[in-house]
Amino acid sequence: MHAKVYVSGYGIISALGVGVGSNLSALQSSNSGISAPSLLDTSHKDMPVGELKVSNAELTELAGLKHKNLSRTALMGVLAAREALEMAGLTPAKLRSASLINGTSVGGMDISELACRDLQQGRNIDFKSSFQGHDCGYSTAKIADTLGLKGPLQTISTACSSSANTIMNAGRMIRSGMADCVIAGGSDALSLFTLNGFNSLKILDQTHCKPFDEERQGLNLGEGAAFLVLESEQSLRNRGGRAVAQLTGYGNANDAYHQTASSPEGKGALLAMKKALKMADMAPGKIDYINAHGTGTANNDLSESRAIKEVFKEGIPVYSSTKAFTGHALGAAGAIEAVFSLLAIQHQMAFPNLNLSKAMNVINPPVTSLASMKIQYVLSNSFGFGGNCSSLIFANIS
Amino acid sequence: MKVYITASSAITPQDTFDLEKYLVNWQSSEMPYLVALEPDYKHVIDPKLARRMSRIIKMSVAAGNRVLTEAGIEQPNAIVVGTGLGCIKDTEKFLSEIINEREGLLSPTAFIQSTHNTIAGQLALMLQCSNDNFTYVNRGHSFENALFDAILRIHEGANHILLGGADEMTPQVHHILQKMGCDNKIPFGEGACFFMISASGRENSVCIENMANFRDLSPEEVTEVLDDFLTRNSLYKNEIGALVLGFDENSPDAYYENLISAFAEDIPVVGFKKVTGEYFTASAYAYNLGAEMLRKQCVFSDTLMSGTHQGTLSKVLIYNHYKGENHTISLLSL
Repeated sequence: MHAKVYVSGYGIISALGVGVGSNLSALQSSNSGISAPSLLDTSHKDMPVGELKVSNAELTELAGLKHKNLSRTALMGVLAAREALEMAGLTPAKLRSASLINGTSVGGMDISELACRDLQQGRNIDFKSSFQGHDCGYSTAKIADTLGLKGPLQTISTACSSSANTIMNAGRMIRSGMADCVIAGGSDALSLFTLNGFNSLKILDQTHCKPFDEERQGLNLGEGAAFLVLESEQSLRNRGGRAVAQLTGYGNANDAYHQTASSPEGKGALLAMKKALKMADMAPGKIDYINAHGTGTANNDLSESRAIKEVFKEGIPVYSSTKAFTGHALGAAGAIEAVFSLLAIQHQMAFPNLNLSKAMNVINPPVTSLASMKIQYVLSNSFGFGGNCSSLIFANIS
Repeated sequence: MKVYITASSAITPQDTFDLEKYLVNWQSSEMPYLVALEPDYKHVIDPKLARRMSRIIKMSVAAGNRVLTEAGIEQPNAIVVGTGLGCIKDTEKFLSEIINEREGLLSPTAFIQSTHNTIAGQLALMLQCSNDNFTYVNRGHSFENALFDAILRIHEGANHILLGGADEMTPQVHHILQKMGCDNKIPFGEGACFFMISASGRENSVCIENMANFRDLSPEEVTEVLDDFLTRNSLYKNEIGALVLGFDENSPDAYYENLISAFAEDIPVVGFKKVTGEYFTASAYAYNLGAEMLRKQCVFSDTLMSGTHQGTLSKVLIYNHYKGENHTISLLSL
């Protein structure tokens, strides 16, 4: 008998603001966080992004840190993870043994790319503080040190599914009995590297993105961090903690089609959803809401729609992409959308898919306004470069 | 939990890929860092594909392909890779283009290949393998994250996991590391080591009896966790035939010195970083070297730092730490 996996806390920071409260109120009032970049030092001044309008100096102060040159990836990670720990009410003793699994695609690139520019232009820079946080594992260590987490650390980088995979790994460790309390999520800051990277692939929408719209032009890049506290039943009972939801299923599969493009039929997506449903031991028809990956690119939304159609046949659940609120926060997207899935369960509502004017003709259109409804099970999809596809299923336990 | 290395392949700055020449002729290098000895790829990678691959991908795919062939496995249950800096050459290249072109018109090729999970993704693509595909990037503990995952997967019921650890070095990254003051007595290096981790052994396979990870130890605590580890595995110190350590005798380090002093004076002490140099996933090679020592019943003389090997070798203990923050003790047996 495998241990059940519960969620006892979560925290989030995104273009919608710092903390669960500001994110929820933006989602409920259809206030998108997409805007022109004002903090990112880019020449693409008009390219819309999901930028958190809080400077590095302000984030450093909020996080209670004194370092200079800290990456936003580490700073946002500390803030989101701290909120999750506080909601769960973990004691210092619990923190000392808890595991941390962090997911990020480019780590401290937002700082190291500026240092690289200085270096290339012959400026004398502080090498140590500028480059020490470049690697993805740095933010994990920083979060652990700042919050007093002494247990095992993992860092996952599987592009845009990174933090969905951290939550999956938390589930695997708890189910197998190898851990009883895991903090899992991810963080990614906007960077010139990713903005220009996606721009060179010609998959950025020059206006606000329109997921699942027939006329969709691409994605808006975003940034943020989100973390979940996942625990076994035993751990909750021992410390008198309270669960807010259950992680009942997860699945990872590889599309094995192309380094960046999804297969036309969405094979990886299909397999990931099927694996998650199989693990949750449930019929597809029981899913009430899908928080889709829905980036707004021609390729993703078509293959994801086809995969959803193949899994759910005629009984396609209410679904939406929340990328038009936050932008695509890459390595943090899976955890951000896991938090949105938990909010959907706790508040019994599905969040709208913004900017839809002409539906695609593959499946019925996504929900476009806030929908109060009974939500027992939510499926959350995250797909990334390298064909990496992951799906999570959260269940209402109230 | 026990798992088995049923195949293993390593590309390092020494001759390790060709098993007949394995550490036979020691290569000396005039380079400021140790550069991997890359094989002639046309025998192991389709030349059409190889043309588009960066060095870290080529090294990984070559070692990965060799492991799949040796193990006779076409579809592993998962592909799990650890890498500290990922595809850093392509990252560096795309970043330079951004700076030089002032964010103008850029070719996406380097960006596409720069993603950390390109190695595991490429392997999946080549094998048409839709199974789980994970990449760990946890500093000097990236390969250990991946190995832990592979062991957990066997525990979950998987039979064969393709596991790897890879990092590449470039002149610019080396320049930055030096400026950061990260230079140490062990020169920087690079390489790719791949393994088939299986649920059951077969002829010539090596068992990973156990692996234990620890965080933030003091040098004094190393001998305590070692004793715990040995007790949990019902082992006496004199049953360990050799120590394989991330250590160099020219670079004093109390962690390794304390661990060595817990054993008899003549125990063979092997430094795997003599072969690889220092990099985030260098420790992957410790498992390849330990396995070859057990299979060949020998201690490779150029890696031996102290002690003498006599008789049979049935158990090898691996210990490596990253900045005193992450420590891993593993036990290999024949």
